[in-house]
Amino acid sequence: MEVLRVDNLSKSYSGHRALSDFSITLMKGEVIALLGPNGAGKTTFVKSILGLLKADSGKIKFFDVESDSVSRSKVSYLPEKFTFYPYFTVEATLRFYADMYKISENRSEIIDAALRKLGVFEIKGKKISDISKGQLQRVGLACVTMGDHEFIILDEPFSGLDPIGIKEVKNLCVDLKNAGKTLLINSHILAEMEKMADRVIILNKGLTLAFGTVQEVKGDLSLEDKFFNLVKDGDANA
Amino acid sequence: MPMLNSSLVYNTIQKEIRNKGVIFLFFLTLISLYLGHSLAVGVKDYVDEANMSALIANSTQAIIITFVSTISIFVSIIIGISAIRSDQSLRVLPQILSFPISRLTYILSRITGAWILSAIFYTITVIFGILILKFSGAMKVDFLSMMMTFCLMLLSLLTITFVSTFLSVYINKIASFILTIVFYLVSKFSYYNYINGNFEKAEFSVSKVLGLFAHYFLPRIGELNYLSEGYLGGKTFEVSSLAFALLHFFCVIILWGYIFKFLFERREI
Repeated sequence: MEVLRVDNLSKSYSGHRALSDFSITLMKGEVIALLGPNGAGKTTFVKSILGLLKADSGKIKFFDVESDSVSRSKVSYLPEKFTFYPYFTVEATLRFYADMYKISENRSEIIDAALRKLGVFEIKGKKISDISKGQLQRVGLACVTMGDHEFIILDEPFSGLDPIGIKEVKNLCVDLKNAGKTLLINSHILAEMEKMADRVIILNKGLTLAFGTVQEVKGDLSLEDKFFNLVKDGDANA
Repeated sequence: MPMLNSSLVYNTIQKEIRNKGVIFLFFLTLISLYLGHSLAVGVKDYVDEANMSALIANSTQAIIITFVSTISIFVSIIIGISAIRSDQSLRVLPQILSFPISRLTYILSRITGAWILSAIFYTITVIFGILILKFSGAMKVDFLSMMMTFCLMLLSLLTITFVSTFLSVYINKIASFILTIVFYLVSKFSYYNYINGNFEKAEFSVSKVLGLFAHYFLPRIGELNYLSEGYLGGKTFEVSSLAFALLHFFCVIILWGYIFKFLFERREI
Protein backbone atom coordinates (compact mmCIF):
# COMPACT_ATOMS: atom_id res chain seq x y z
CA MET A 1 0.00 0.00 0.00
CA GLU A 2 1.32 3.42 -1.00
CA VAL A 3 1.49 5.81 1.93
CA LEU A 4 3.02 8.72 0.01
CA ARG A 5 3.55 9.27 -3.67
CA VAL A 6 5.39 12.32 -4.92
CA ASP A 7 5.86 12.93 -8.64
CA ASN A 8 8.22 15.53 -10.12
CA LEU A 9 8.06 17.92 -7.21
CA SER A 10 9.89 21.20 -7.86
CA LYS A 11 10.24 24.29 -5.74
CA SER A 12 12.25 27.48 -6.24
CA TYR A 13 12.83 30.47 -4.00
CA SER A 14 13.44 33.66 -6.01
CA GLY A 15 15.34 31.87 -8.77
CA HIS A 16 17.16 29.43 -6.49
CA ARG A 17 16.08 25.84 -7.11
CA ALA A 18 15.43 24.21 -3.72
CA LEU A 19 13.93 20.99 -5.08
CA SER A 20 14.15 19.72 -8.64
CA ASP A 21 11.81 17.10 -10.14
CA PHE A 22 11.81 15.07 -6.96
CA SER A 23 9.87 11.79 -7.06
CA ILE A 24 9.41 9.17 -4.41
CA THR A 25 6.98 6.47 -3.31
CA LEU A 26 6.78 5.33 0.31
CA MET A 27 5.22 2.00 1.15
CA LYS A 28 3.42 1.08 4.37
CA GLY A 29 5.66 -0.01 7.24
CA GLU A 30 8.88 1.43 5.78
CA VAL A 31 11.43 3.58 7.56
CA ILE A 32 12.88 6.09 5.10
CA ALA A 33 15.90 8.22 5.94
CA LEU A 34 16.05 11.61 4.27
CA LEU A 35 19.68 12.70 4.27
CA GLY A 36 21.52 15.71 2.97
CA PRO A 37 23.65 18.66 4.04
CA ASN A 38 22.07 21.94 5.14
CA GLY A 39 20.21 23.56 2.25
CA ALA A 40 19.81 20.26 0.42
CA GLY A 41 16.04 20.63 0.15
CA LYS A 42 14.96 18.22 2.91
CA THR A 43 12.84 20.69 4.85
CA THR A 44 11.44 22.11 1.59
CA PHE A 45 10.34 18.59 0.68
CA VAL A 46 8.74 17.93 4.07
CA LYS A 47 6.98 21.32 4.15
CA SER A 48 5.76 20.85 0.56
CA ILE A 49 4.13 17.50 1.26
CA LEU A 50 2.47 18.96 4.35
CA GLY A 51 1.09 21.88 2.35
CA LEU A 52 3.08 24.46 4.32
CA LEU A 53 4.88 25.46 1.11
CA LYS A 54 3.29 25.67 -2.29
CA ALA A 55 5.29 23.61 -4.80
CA ASP A 56 5.92 25.10 -8.26
CA SER A 57 5.00 21.81 -9.90
CA GLY A 58 4.47 18.15 -9.11
CA LYS A 59 1.87 15.90 -7.53
CA ILE A 60 1.57 14.74 -3.94
CA LYS A 61 -0.72 11.95 -2.82
CA PHE A 62 -1.29 10.47 0.63
CA PHE A 63 -2.92 7.03 0.63
CA ASP A 64 -3.87 7.47 -3.05
CA VAL A 65 -5.63 10.77 -2.36
CA GLU A 66 -4.42 14.22 -3.44
CA SER A 67 -2.75 15.96 -0.50
CA ASP A 68 -5.16 18.17 1.41
CA SER A 69 -6.20 18.74 4.99
CA VAL A 70 -8.38 15.58 4.94
CA SER A 71 -5.81 13.18 3.48
CA ARG A 72 -3.28 14.51 6.00
CA SER A 73 -5.43 13.21 8.88
CA LYS A 74 -3.35 10.01 8.93
CA VAL A 75 -0.10 11.96 9.09
CA SER A 76 1.69 13.46 12.08
CA TYR A 77 4.70 15.73 11.95
CA LEU A 78 7.49 16.61 14.38
CA PRO A 79 9.22 19.81 13.20
CA GLU A 80 12.97 20.28 13.42
CA LYS A 81 12.69 22.47 16.50
CA PHE A 82 9.58 21.46 18.36
CA THR A 83 8.12 24.29 20.39
CA PHE A 84 4.84 25.32 21.97
CA TYR A 85 3.41 28.20 23.98
CA PRO A 86 5.92 28.67 26.83
CA TYR A 87 3.18 29.25 29.42
CA PHE A 88 1.44 25.92 28.67
CA THR A 89 2.27 22.91 30.81
CA VAL A 90 3.52 19.71 29.22
CA GLU A 91 0.17 18.07 29.98
CA ALA A 92 -1.82 20.98 28.46
CA THR A 93 0.35 20.73 25.34
CA LEU A 94 -0.43 17.05 24.94
CA ARG A 95 -4.10 17.70 25.65
CA PHE A 96 -4.15 20.23 22.81
CA TYR A 97 -2.55 17.69 20.46
CA ALA A 98 -5.04 15.05 21.63
CA ASP A 99 -7.91 17.46 20.86
CA MET A 100 -6.53 18.22 17.41
CA TYR A 101 -6.08 14.49 16.72
CA LYS A 102 -9.65 13.95 17.96
CA ILE A 103 -8.60 11.54 20.70
CA SER A 104 -11.59 11.51 23.02
CA GLU A 105 -11.68 8.07 24.63
CA ASN A 106 -9.14 7.29 27.36
CA ARG A 107 -7.46 10.60 26.65
CA SER A 108 -5.70 10.90 30.02
CA GLU A 109 -4.41 7.33 29.83
CA ILE A 110 -3.12 7.87 26.28
CA ILE A 111 -1.38 11.10 27.29
CA ASP A 112 0.21 9.49 30.36
CA ALA A 113 1.33 6.46 28.34
CA ALA A 114 2.95 8.68 25.69
CA LEU A 115 4.77 10.70 28.38
CA ARG A 116 5.95 7.54 30.16
CA LYS A 117 7.21 6.03 26.91
CA LEU A 118 9.40 9.08 26.30
CA GLY A 119 10.51 9.27 29.95
CA VAL A 120 8.93 12.66 30.62
CA PHE A 121 5.95 11.68 32.75
CA GLU A 122 7.41 13.30 35.87
CA ILE A 123 7.53 16.74 34.18
CA LYS A 124 3.94 16.75 32.97
CA GLY A 125 3.00 19.56 35.36
CA LYS A 126 5.93 21.77 34.33
CA LYS A 127 5.64 24.68 31.93
CA ILE A 128 7.19 24.38 28.48
CA SER A 129 9.45 27.35 29.33
CA ASP A 130 10.86 25.49 32.35
CA ILE A 131 12.02 22.29 30.66
CA SER A 132 15.32 21.52 28.91
CA LYS A 133 15.84 21.29 25.15
CA GLY A 134 16.11 17.51 25.34
CA GLN A 135 12.94 17.23 27.42
CA LEU A 136 11.14 19.51 24.94
CA GLN A 137 12.18 17.24 22.09
CA ARG A 138 10.80 14.25 23.99
CA VAL A 139 7.55 16.09 24.65
CA GLY A 140 7.32 16.80 20.90
CA LEU A 141 7.84 13.14 20.16
CA ALA A 142 5.19 12.22 22.73
CA CYS A 143 2.78 14.62 21.00
CA VAL A 144 3.24 13.23 17.49
CA THR A 145 3.36 9.57 18.44
CA MET A 146 0.32 9.80 20.72
CA GLY A 147 -2.23 9.62 17.91
CA ASP A 148 -2.60 6.38 16.00
CA HIS A 149 -1.20 7.85 12.77
CA GLU A 150 -0.12 5.61 9.94
CA PHE A 151 2.56 7.96 8.62
CA ILE A 152 4.90 9.86 10.94
CA ILE A 153 7.33 12.50 9.71
CA LEU A 154 10.19 13.24 12.08
CA ASP A 155 12.42 16.20 11.24
CA GLU A 156 15.67 15.83 13.21
CA PRO A 157 14.15 13.73 16.03
CA PHE A 158 17.56 13.28 17.74
CA SER A 159 18.22 17.00 17.94
CA GLY A 160 19.17 18.11 21.47
CA LEU A 161 19.10 14.59 22.92
CA ASP A 162 21.85 12.98 24.98
CA PRO A 163 23.07 9.44 24.08
CA ILE A 164 20.43 7.88 26.35
CA GLY A 165 17.74 9.99 24.70
CA ILE A 166 19.00 9.01 21.24
CA LYS A 167 18.83 5.34 22.21
CA GLU A 168 15.28 5.76 23.58
CA VAL A 169 14.08 7.56 20.47
CA LYS A 170 15.68 4.91 18.31
CA ASN A 171 13.82 2.23 20.29
CA LEU A 172 10.60 4.22 19.90
CA CYS A 173 11.10 4.34 16.12
CA VAL A 174 11.67 0.57 16.07
CA ASP A 175 8.48 0.08 18.10
CA LEU A 176 6.55 2.27 15.68
CA LYS A 177 7.95 0.36 12.73
CA ASN A 178 7.01 -2.96 14.36
CA ALA A 179 3.51 -1.56 14.85
CA GLY A 180 3.30 -1.13 11.06
CA LYS A 181 3.79 2.63 10.98
CA THR A 182 5.61 4.35 8.13
CA LEU A 183 8.36 6.72 9.20
CA LEU A 184 10.10 9.45 7.22
CA ILE A 185 13.09 10.61 9.25
CA ASN A 186 15.18 13.61 8.36
CA SER A 187 18.44 13.34 10.28
CA HIS A 188 22.13 14.18 10.29
CA ILE A 189 23.05 11.18 12.45
CA LEU A 190 24.01 8.84 9.64
CA ALA A 191 25.21 5.94 11.81
CA GLU A 192 21.79 5.66 13.45
CA MET A 193 20.00 5.96 10.15
CA GLU A 194 22.16 3.23 8.66
CA LYS A 195 20.94 0.84 11.36
CA MET A 196 17.29 1.89 11.36
CA ALA A 197 16.27 2.78 7.82
CA ASP A 198 14.92 0.45 5.16
CA ARG A 199 15.59 2.93 2.38
CA VAL A 200 17.69 6.05 2.11
CA ILE A 201 17.37 9.22 0.03
CA ILE A 202 20.40 11.48 -0.28
CA LEU A 203 19.63 15.00 -1.44
CA ASN A 204 21.94 17.87 -2.28
CA LYS A 205 21.04 21.25 -3.74
CA GLY A 206 17.54 20.05 -4.56
CA LEU A 207 18.73 17.02 -6.55
CA THR A 208 18.44 13.35 -5.62
CA LEU A 209 21.96 11.95 -5.45
CA ALA A 210 20.95 8.45 -4.35
CA PHE A 211 17.81 6.54 -3.52
CA GLY A 212 17.45 2.89 -2.60
CA THR A 213 17.88 0.39 0.19
CA VAL A 214 20.68 1.14 2.63
CA GLN A 215 22.80 -1.61 1.06
CA GLU A 216 22.15 -0.39 -2.50
CA VAL A 217 23.13 3.16 -1.62
CA LYS A 218 26.22 2.54 0.53
CA GLY A 219 27.69 -0.47 -1.29
CA ASP A 220 30.92 -1.52 0.41
CA LEU A 221 31.38 1.77 2.23
CA SER A 222 29.77 2.97 5.41
CA LEU A 223 26.73 5.22 4.86
CA GLU A 224 28.70 8.13 6.27
CA ASP A 225 31.57 7.67 3.78
CA LYS A 226 29.20 7.16 0.87
CA PHE A 227 27.24 10.26 1.86
CA PHE A 228 30.45 12.30 2.10
CA ASN A 229 31.68 11.10 -1.32
CA LEU A 230 28.35 11.74 -3.04
CA VAL A 231 27.94 15.23 -1.63
CA LYS A 232 31.58 16.20 -2.32
CA ASP A 233 31.40 14.82 -5.87
CA GLY A 234 28.15 16.67 -6.41
CA ASP A 235 29.70 19.92 -5.19
CA ALA A 236 32.77 19.42 -7.40
CA ASN A 237 30.61 18.79 -10.49
CA ALA A 238 28.35 21.76 -9.82
CA MET B 1 -14.64 19.85 6.68
CA PRO B 2 -16.09 22.10 9.40
CA MET B 3 -15.43 25.84 9.16
CA LEU B 4 -14.57 26.12 12.85
CA ASN B 5 -12.42 23.94 15.06
CA SER B 6 -13.64 24.14 18.65
CA SER B 7 -10.25 23.05 20.06
CA LEU B 8 -8.53 25.91 18.23
CA VAL B 9 -11.19 28.40 19.34
CA TYR B 10 -10.70 27.27 22.94
CA ASN B 11 -6.91 27.32 22.53
CA THR B 12 -7.11 30.94 21.29
CA ILE B 13 -9.01 31.93 24.43
CA GLN B 14 -6.61 29.92 26.62
CA LYS B 15 -3.53 31.66 25.23
CA GLU B 16 -4.92 35.19 24.86
CA ILE B 17 -6.46 35.30 28.32
CA ARG B 18 -2.88 35.49 29.63
CA ASN B 19 -2.16 38.58 27.52
CA LYS B 20 -0.68 41.11 29.94
CA GLY B 21 -2.10 44.07 28.00
CA VAL B 22 -5.61 42.64 28.26
CA ILE B 23 -5.26 41.86 31.97
CA PHE B 24 -3.98 45.40 32.61
CA LEU B 25 -6.85 46.99 30.66
CA PHE B 26 -9.36 44.77 32.43
CA PHE B 27 -8.37 45.94 35.91
CA LEU B 28 -7.86 49.51 34.71
CA THR B 29 -11.42 49.52 33.35
CA LEU B 30 -12.95 48.13 36.54
CA ILE B 31 -11.05 50.59 38.74
CA SER B 32 -11.83 53.52 36.41
CA LEU B 33 -15.53 52.64 36.36
CA TYR B 34 -15.65 52.47 40.13
CA LEU B 35 -13.71 55.71 40.66
CA GLY B 36 -15.63 57.50 37.88
CA HIS B 37 -18.91 56.45 39.41
CA SER B 38 -17.81 57.58 42.88
CA LEU B 39 -16.87 60.95 41.41
CA ALA B 40 -20.25 61.25 39.65
CA VAL B 41 -22.10 60.43 42.88
CA GLY B 42 -19.98 62.96 44.76
CA VAL B 43 -20.66 65.69 42.20
CA LYS B 44 -24.37 64.83 42.15
CA ASP B 45 -24.59 65.14 45.94
CA TYR B 46 -22.61 68.38 45.87
CA VAL B 47 -24.74 69.99 43.16
CA ASP B 48 -28.04 71.07 44.68
CA GLU B 49 -29.90 71.93 41.50
CA ALA B 50 -32.33 69.12 40.69
CA ASN B 51 -32.02 69.36 36.91
CA MET B 52 -28.20 69.29 37.06
CA SER B 53 -28.31 66.26 39.33
CA ALA B 54 -30.65 64.45 36.91
CA LEU B 55 -28.43 65.35 33.97
CA ILE B 56 -25.41 63.79 35.67
CA ALA B 57 -27.37 60.65 36.52
CA ASN B 58 -28.71 60.25 32.98
CA SER B 59 -25.34 60.86 31.36
CA THR B 60 -23.66 58.19 33.47
CA GLN B 61 -25.09 55.26 31.48
CA ALA B 62 -23.89 56.73 28.17
CA ILE B 63 -20.49 57.59 29.63
CA ILE B 64 -20.04 54.07 30.98
CA ILE B 65 -21.01 52.44 27.67
CA THR B 66 -18.78 54.80 25.67
CA PHE B 67 -15.83 54.26 28.01
CA VAL B 68 -16.21 50.49 28.08
CA SER B 69 -16.72 50.36 24.30
CA THR B 70 -13.56 52.37 23.65
CA ILE B 71 -11.47 50.19 25.96
CA SER B 72 -13.02 47.07 24.40
CA ILE B 73 -11.97 48.28 20.94
CA PHE B 74 -8.37 48.48 22.19
CA VAL B 75 -8.66 45.05 23.80
CA SER B 76 -9.99 43.48 20.61
CA ILE B 77 -7.10 45.05 18.65
CA ILE B 78 -4.55 43.63 21.13
CA ILE B 79 -6.12 40.16 21.11
CA GLY B 80 -6.66 40.17 17.33
CA ILE B 81 -3.04 41.11 16.67
CA SER B 82 -1.74 38.36 18.96
CA ALA B 83 -4.11 35.57 17.81
CA ILE B 84 -2.13 34.50 14.72
CA ARG B 85 1.00 36.59 15.16
CA SER B 86 2.01 34.73 18.37
CA ASP B 87 1.78 31.43 16.45
CA GLN B 88 4.15 32.89 13.88
CA SER B 89 6.61 34.38 16.36
CA LEU B 90 6.69 31.27 18.57
CA ARG B 91 7.05 29.08 15.42
CA VAL B 92 4.00 27.02 16.40
CA LEU B 93 2.21 27.79 13.12
CA PRO B 94 3.78 24.96 11.03
CA GLN B 95 2.77 22.46 13.74
CA ILE B 96 -0.82 23.71 13.83
CA LEU B 97 -1.18 23.82 10.05
CA SER B 98 0.14 20.27 9.78
CA PHE B 99 -2.97 19.11 11.65
CA PRO B 100 -5.85 17.95 9.46
CA ILE B 101 -7.46 21.39 9.30
CA SER B 102 -7.72 23.80 6.39
CA ARG B 103 -6.19 27.24 6.56
CA LEU B 104 -9.67 28.73 6.40
CA THR B 105 -10.64 26.76 9.51
CA TYR B 106 -7.47 27.98 11.22
CA ILE B 107 -8.17 31.66 10.42
CA LEU B 108 -11.86 31.48 11.36
CA SER B 109 -11.14 29.61 14.60
CA ARG B 110 -8.47 32.09 15.68
CA ILE B 111 -10.68 35.11 14.83
CA THR B 112 -13.68 33.55 16.58
CA GLY B 113 -11.65 32.78 19.71
CA ALA B 114 -10.25 36.32 19.78
CA TRP B 115 -13.72 37.77 19.23
CA ILE B 116 -15.28 35.66 21.99
CA LEU B 117 -12.62 36.83 24.44
CA SER B 118 -13.14 40.49 23.43
CA ALA B 119 -16.89 39.97 23.86
CA ILE B 120 -16.35 38.43 27.32
CA PHE B 121 -14.22 41.44 28.29
CA TYR B 122 -16.91 43.82 27.04
CA THR B 123 -19.72 41.89 28.73
CA ILE B 124 -18.02 41.68 32.12
CA THR B 125 -17.07 45.35 32.16
CA VAL B 126 -20.54 46.47 31.01
CA ILE B 127 -22.21 44.28 33.66
CA PHE B 128 -19.84 45.66 36.30
CA GLY B 129 -20.72 49.20 35.22
CA ILE B 130 -24.45 48.50 35.34
CA LEU B 131 -24.20 46.78 38.71
CA ILE B 132 -22.43 49.63 40.47
CA LEU B 133 -24.99 52.05 39.10
CA LYS B 134 -27.89 49.81 39.94
CA PHE B 135 -26.82 49.04 43.50
CA SER B 136 -26.05 52.66 44.27
CA GLY B 137 -29.45 53.62 42.86
CA ALA B 138 -27.77 56.32 40.78
CA MET B 139 -29.76 55.60 37.65
CA LYS B 140 -32.47 53.63 36.01
CA VAL B 141 -31.08 51.11 33.55
CA ASP B 142 -32.83 50.86 30.18
CA PHE B 143 -32.23 47.21 29.35
CA LEU B 144 -33.69 47.28 25.83
CA SER B 145 -31.45 50.10 24.65
CA MET B 146 -28.55 48.46 26.48
CA MET B 147 -29.15 45.17 24.65
CA MET B 148 -29.33 46.82 21.20
CA THR B 149 -26.16 48.75 21.92
CA PHE B 150 -24.52 45.60 23.23
CA CYS B 151 -25.35 43.53 20.12
CA LEU B 152 -24.20 46.25 17.72
CA MET B 153 -21.00 46.67 19.73
CA LEU B 154 -20.28 42.94 19.37
CA LEU B 155 -20.36 43.40 15.58
CA SER B 156 -17.93 46.31 15.86
CA LEU B 157 -15.64 44.13 17.98
CA LEU B 158 -15.84 41.36 15.38
CA THR B 159 -14.77 43.83 12.68
CA ILE B 160 -11.89 45.20 14.71
CA THR B 161 -10.71 41.69 15.65
CA PHE B 162 -10.88 40.62 12.01
CA VAL B 163 -8.97 43.67 10.72
CA SER B 164 -6.25 43.50 13.39
CA THR B 165 -5.76 39.75 12.83
CA PHE B 166 -5.58 40.26 9.07
CA LEU B 167 -3.03 43.07 9.32
CA SER B 168 -0.89 41.27 11.93
CA VAL B 169 -0.19 38.43 9.51
CA TYR B 170 1.55 40.81 7.11
CA ILE B 171 2.96 43.64 9.20
CA ASN B 172 4.50 43.99 12.65
CA LYS B 173 2.53 44.48 15.88
CA ILE B 174 2.89 48.24 16.27
CA ALA B 175 2.09 48.94 12.61
CA SER B 176 -0.92 46.60 12.86
CA PHE B 177 -2.13 48.43 15.96
CA ILE B 178 -1.81 51.87 14.35
CA LEU B 179 -3.34 50.78 11.04
CA THR B 180 -6.30 49.15 12.79
CA ILE B 181 -7.00 52.40 14.62
CA VAL B 182 -6.65 54.29 11.31
CA PHE B 183 -9.09 51.82 9.75
CA TYR B 184 -11.50 52.33 12.65
CA LEU B 185 -11.40 56.11 12.31
CA VAL B 186 -11.67 56.09 8.49
CA SER B 187 -14.55 53.64 8.61
CA LYS B 188 -16.29 55.65 11.30
CA PHE B 189 -15.88 59.10 9.77
CA SER B 190 -16.60 58.06 6.18
CA TYR B 191 -20.09 57.14 7.38
CA TYR B 192 -20.60 60.46 9.18
CA ASN B 193 -19.42 62.28 6.05
CA TYR B 194 -21.84 60.25 3.95
CA ILE B 195 -24.92 60.85 6.08
CA ASN B 196 -24.08 64.56 6.39
CA GLY B 197 -23.98 64.77 2.58
CA ASN B 198 -20.33 65.82 2.51
CA PHE B 199 -19.51 63.44 -0.34
CA GLU B 200 -22.27 64.89 -2.53
CA LYS B 201 -21.11 68.45 -1.90
CA ALA B 202 -17.42 67.71 -2.43
CA GLU B 203 -15.70 68.12 -5.81
CA PHE B 204 -14.19 65.06 -7.43
CA SER B 205 -10.90 64.33 -5.63
CA VAL B 206 -8.76 61.47 -4.39
CA SER B 207 -10.08 61.92 -0.84
CA LYS B 208 -13.67 61.72 -2.12
CA VAL B 209 -12.89 58.48 -3.98
CA LEU B 210 -11.18 57.04 -0.91
CA GLY B 211 -14.06 58.13 1.29
CA LEU B 212 -16.62 56.50 -0.98
CA PHE B 213 -14.49 53.36 -1.21
CA ALA B 214 -14.34 53.23 2.59
CA HIS B 215 -18.08 53.78 2.79
CA TYR B 216 -19.05 51.03 0.35
CA PHE B 217 -16.24 48.46 0.72
CA LEU B 218 -15.30 48.63 4.40
CA PRO B 219 -17.47 47.44 7.28
CA ARG B 220 -19.45 50.48 8.45
CA ILE B 221 -18.40 50.79 12.05
CA GLY B 222 -19.65 54.37 11.93
CA GLU B 223 -23.14 53.19 11.05
CA LEU B 224 -23.10 50.59 13.83
CA ASN B 225 -21.94 53.26 16.27
CA TYR B 226 -24.58 55.70 15.03
CA LEU B 227 -27.31 53.11 15.56
CA SER B 228 -26.01 51.98 18.95
CA GLU B 229 -25.65 55.56 20.21
CA GLY B 230 -29.15 56.22 18.91
CA TYR B 231 -30.62 53.29 20.80
CA LEU B 232 -28.73 54.33 23.89
CA GLY B 233 -30.18 57.82 23.59
CA GLY B 234 -33.71 56.42 23.40
CA LYS B 235 -34.16 56.82 19.62
CA THR B 236 -35.97 54.27 17.51
CA PHE B 237 -35.04 53.31 13.95
CA GLU B 238 -36.95 51.70 11.13
CA VAL B 239 -36.38 47.97 10.89
CA SER B 240 -35.31 48.39 7.25
CA SER B 241 -32.43 50.75 8.12
CA LEU B 242 -31.13 48.27 10.70
CA ALA B 243 -31.61 45.38 8.25
CA PHE B 244 -29.71 47.21 5.46
CA ALA B 245 -26.91 48.09 7.86
CA LEU B 246 -26.57 44.45 8.92
CA LEU B 247 -26.82 43.19 5.33
CA HIS B 248 -24.05 45.54 4.19
CA PHE B 249 -21.97 44.60 7.23
CA PHE B 250 -22.15 40.85 6.63
CA CYS B 251 -21.61 41.16 2.84
CA VAL B 252 -18.47 43.25 3.36
CA ILE B 253 -17.15 40.98 6.13
CA ILE B 254 -17.63 37.94 3.87
CA LEU B 255 -15.92 39.76 0.97
CA TRP B 256 -12.89 40.66 3.10
CA GLY B 257 -12.93 37.19 4.65
CA TYR B 258 -12.49 35.69 1.18
CA ILE B 259 -9.69 38.13 0.40
CA PHE B 260 -7.96 37.11 3.66
CA LYS B 261 -8.47 33.42 2.87
CA PHE B 262 -7.14 33.90 -0.69
CA LEU B 263 -3.98 35.63 0.55
CA PHE B 264 -3.38 33.34 3.54
CA GLU B 265 -3.73 30.16 1.48
CA ARG B 266 -0.91 31.38 -0.77
CA ARG B 267 1.31 32.24 2.13
CA GLU B 268 4.36 30.02 2.66
CA ILE B 269 4.87 28.93 6.26
